[in-house]
Amino acid sequence: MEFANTSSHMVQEVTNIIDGYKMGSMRALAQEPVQNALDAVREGNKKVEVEYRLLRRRDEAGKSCFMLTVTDSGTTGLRGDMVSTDELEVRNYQLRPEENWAAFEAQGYTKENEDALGSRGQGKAAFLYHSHVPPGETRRMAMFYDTLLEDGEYRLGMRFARPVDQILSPPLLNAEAKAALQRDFFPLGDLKVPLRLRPLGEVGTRVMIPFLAEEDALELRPNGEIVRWLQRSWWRAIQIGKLRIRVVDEEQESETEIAVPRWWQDLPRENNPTPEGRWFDLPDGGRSCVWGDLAFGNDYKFRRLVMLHCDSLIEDEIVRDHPEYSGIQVIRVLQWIETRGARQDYGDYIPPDKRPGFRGFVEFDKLTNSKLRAAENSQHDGFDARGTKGEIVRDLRTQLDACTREFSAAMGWESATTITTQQVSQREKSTHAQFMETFLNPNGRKPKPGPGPDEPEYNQLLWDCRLDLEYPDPNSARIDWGQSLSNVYVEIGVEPSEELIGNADLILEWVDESGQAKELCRSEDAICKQWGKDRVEKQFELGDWQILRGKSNLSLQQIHCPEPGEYRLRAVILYRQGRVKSATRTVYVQSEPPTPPQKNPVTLSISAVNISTRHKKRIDHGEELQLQINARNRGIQPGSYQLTATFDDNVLARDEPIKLEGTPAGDSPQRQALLTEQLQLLDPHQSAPMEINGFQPMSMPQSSGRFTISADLYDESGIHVAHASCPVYFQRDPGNARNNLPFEIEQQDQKAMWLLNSDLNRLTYPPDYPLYTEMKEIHRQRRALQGRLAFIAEISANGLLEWALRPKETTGDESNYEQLYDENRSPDDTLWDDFNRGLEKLCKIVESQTEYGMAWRETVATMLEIFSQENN
Amino acid sequence: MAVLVWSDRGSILGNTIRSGRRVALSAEEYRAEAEALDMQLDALLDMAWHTLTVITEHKDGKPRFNTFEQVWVLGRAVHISEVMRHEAMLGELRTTLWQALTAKAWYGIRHDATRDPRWRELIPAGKNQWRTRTDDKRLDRAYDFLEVGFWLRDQQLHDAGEVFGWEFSNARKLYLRPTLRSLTLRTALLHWLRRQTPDIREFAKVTQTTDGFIVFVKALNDRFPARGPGSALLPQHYPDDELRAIVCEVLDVARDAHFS
Repeated sequence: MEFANTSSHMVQEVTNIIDGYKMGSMRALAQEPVQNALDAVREGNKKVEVEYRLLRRRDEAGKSCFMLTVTDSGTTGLRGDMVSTDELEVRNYQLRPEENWAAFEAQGYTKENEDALGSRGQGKAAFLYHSHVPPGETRRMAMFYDTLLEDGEYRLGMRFARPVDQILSPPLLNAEAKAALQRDFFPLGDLKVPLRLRPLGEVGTRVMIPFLAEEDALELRPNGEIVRWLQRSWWRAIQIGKLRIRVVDEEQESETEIAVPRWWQDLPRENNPTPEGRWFDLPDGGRSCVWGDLAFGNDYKFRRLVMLHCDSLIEDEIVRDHPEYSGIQVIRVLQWIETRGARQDYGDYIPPDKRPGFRGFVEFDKLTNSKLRAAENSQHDGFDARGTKGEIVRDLRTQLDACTREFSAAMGWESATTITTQQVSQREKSTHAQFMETFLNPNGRKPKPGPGPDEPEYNQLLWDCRLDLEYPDPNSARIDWGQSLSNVYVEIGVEPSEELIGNADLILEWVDESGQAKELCRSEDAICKQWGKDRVEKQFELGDWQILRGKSNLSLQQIHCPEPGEYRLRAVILYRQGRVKSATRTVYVQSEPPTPPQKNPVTLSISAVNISTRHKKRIDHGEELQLQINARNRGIQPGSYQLTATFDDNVLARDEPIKLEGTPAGDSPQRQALLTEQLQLLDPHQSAPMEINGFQPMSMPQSSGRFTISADLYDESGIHVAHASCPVYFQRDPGNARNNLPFEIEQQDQKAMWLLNSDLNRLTYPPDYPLYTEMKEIHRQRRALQGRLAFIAEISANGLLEWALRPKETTGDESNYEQLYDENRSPDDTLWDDFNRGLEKLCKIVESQTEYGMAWRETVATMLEIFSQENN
Repeated sequence: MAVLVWSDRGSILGNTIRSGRRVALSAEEYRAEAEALDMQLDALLDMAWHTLTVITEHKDGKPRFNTFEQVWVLGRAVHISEVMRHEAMLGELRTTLWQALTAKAWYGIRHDATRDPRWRELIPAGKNQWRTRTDDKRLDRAYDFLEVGFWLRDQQLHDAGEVFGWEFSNARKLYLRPTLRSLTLRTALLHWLRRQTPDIREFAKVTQTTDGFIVFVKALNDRFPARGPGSALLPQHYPDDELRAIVCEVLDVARDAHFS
């Protein structure tokens, strides 16, 4: 027997190669031998069989040791000439495709018609790595390999890394080889390797790894890790009948055949998948989508892409850092290469609680497979997405991303964006809540004037105020000097009458562009209780008011107005030292008003107020709800419409004809009440409480729940004009709006500084947003706007504006806007006035994005000032 | 109030009192009411089991349970027994009752801790997510078979079966769209189905997510959206005749579009 040394430090080389497998040596051992076997399939043979067999042997000293054999059959065996190292050098390290024996013995060669992927000795290294030849100060590795060829030739070879590389040259042949195998020990220098194996009976190859490490032997049993890696790597080849793998433990006489994972057992066989995807219900209650012949990138194609989700699936991962099943397995030519992770890569689309049950795989057509091979790494466990070769990988990932998003949407998952870990600090949450409370109030009504500390709580008064006037041009709010605002008329209503304590005043004001108000006239104690009436109503005819540039006299109803610009005439109700309601008309003195908006000129709003218990959105059994449906028409022309409104199963109005007056260009549109209902809500399972006069009892369909008031407005030709909806929380707390906040604040991974979700109940911001991370975390708060809390206030302001304006602009639903827009808040404070005017401006200039953006930013700035002023 | 939920850990029976509402210290304060409800659930499950034995088909002497029938039987039994009006259920969400009912039927435990394994037949095969789900957000889905059953309660089994082709998943598809839950819509749907050719009726029984019953569900859902424009007027708001005409029109169009 002769041994030929090669020049390489084999142990180092093997270690380097196997350490390059990011998922560990066991994956390499599961992958490389099977891959080599599939590459060497014998012509005319449809299936390759590979057997991993664990054997126990005793060394010369009688000490127990393990040996692994990996045998393939249905293959060509290690055929071809035996090429010596010298000859290989002469041939410039080029081997012919059929020279398998030489390829298995040599290092650093290239095969014709192949790239360099297979030439780095991954297969040999995967075996050698697991051999720990004793004893020795340095690590030594050994492996034997025998093959039976179709022509009956038998060969036995050996490789010994000590640490230099040593091979048996020439190999033992035929009878000599068989005899050597069957002997108790194979002499290897100072070492005797226990083999005692039967020669191969079928054409194929066997690799023997003596002296396995004890811990590796455990993993190579039929219940060990190797089985799991084999399944991950090769289930698709097994499924289509090209491969059979068995893991045998000879000592324990146990055996496992690698099977297809149960979730893939039937699905990929579904026929006729389409590029649009076909959906299937799974027997376990999950769903799956199968795409077929789906093109991507530059003429590449998914032969099949399958995704499924089933809640009953549990996570089955071996290593933590790199996904195996949890995600989409990328399978190239029946071999699993990498997995795009449900968490790592598609975390945006797959919520955390759905990830364990998510599985997918993708396989490709021939052209795509060959292109992908160029981008595959030498360990066959990943792709390189860089450079020209990586272009296909980038395209592939983009397409998978799109399909996963589609799958997620079809599954009805909220984007994971909405399901994040809660990291918002308590102080930030408080700032957000404080911000909301500064600008909103429960039920959308300012509870003013509230009872004093010693006063009993009483029902909230509902005020109405309407200001009518005639402009010189009925279609425009423009007025020139010398002209008059004619027939100024104020109508006031309040209910319930019996709750009115004392009298109220009416004030007429002229407000300039800076928000400064000048009182024009006042009617003191004009509104008082009217016994025997539920509602107090009062009308004031205030005559004509002339606008003059020069000298004017208020007693002659003349208003001094030297500068052209936008002004307002305002009627205010003063009740118990507070402004409870006002109505405003806009006037453009000597200047042209803006044209009315083209989009959604008519809007609807619904207000649903619990008038039994103030400050409470929840309505309990027997409590009263006052609901009002209002509309505004920003168009110049009046119009006839039809209103349909429902509250759960009850129809409040069905095609009810209504007329909406037009708004002169530039004027503030008047809110017109379309429908008012007073309902006493009742639990169907409880006895009805005492009937309340004027309140219609309404039995709710369930004891508790979130019910909806909806309204649709159609024009005369039946075209939908506006929609509004409003939730009613009957005997339950508003789930996502604790503390009566319209939306909560959360962190999530996203690019944008802030996002308000489609349900308008969650405002999110990225924890790594540059501005946020640069701001100081506040431990001791001195001001309302400080450090990161200023950031929170800023996004809260933006969120609040979006919450109010998005439904208004999309469906003409003004319900939220009405809650934010409150003319009665601190009317003497110009900041609040600026805020109201900012909101009005945002409604007027929806056509110009630039102006709209500017008005938005100005309004946000005003809101921050107000917040700072009110909370410092 | 609260319900009593049985557990069986390695043949060791136990029970806890659970409430979906806020309680001062623990829901144990409502044990008396919960135990009274538990006794009523014995009668409910007996009634449901007997009904199921009557309606279940047998082949070779073995029962062939149908999920649709199982959930209908449970929903109907809950309705008839009026447990929802029991004082222990005051202010409780239905999910709390489902927790009690499912565990009791699955483990087969009567109020006096004697066993009745027959009740397990009431729980449809594969509907066992309730055993592993504990977080509130996902509880509702674990019990959706009971929700669907309870929703079907006011329709005769034969009518309901005809509408959904005796397939639970078809019923669930309609149930998952809140605007399509009304009985009047199901009645109108049945009216339309009965006027279709056998081919169409067979097609409507198919449970796939892209073909079959779902085609008609999607068409109805587009006509009666849950939110946004046109969502004010839902099936339950129309008079029967008008709804029937709308449903026929919508489904005829969907059918013709699918088969053209």
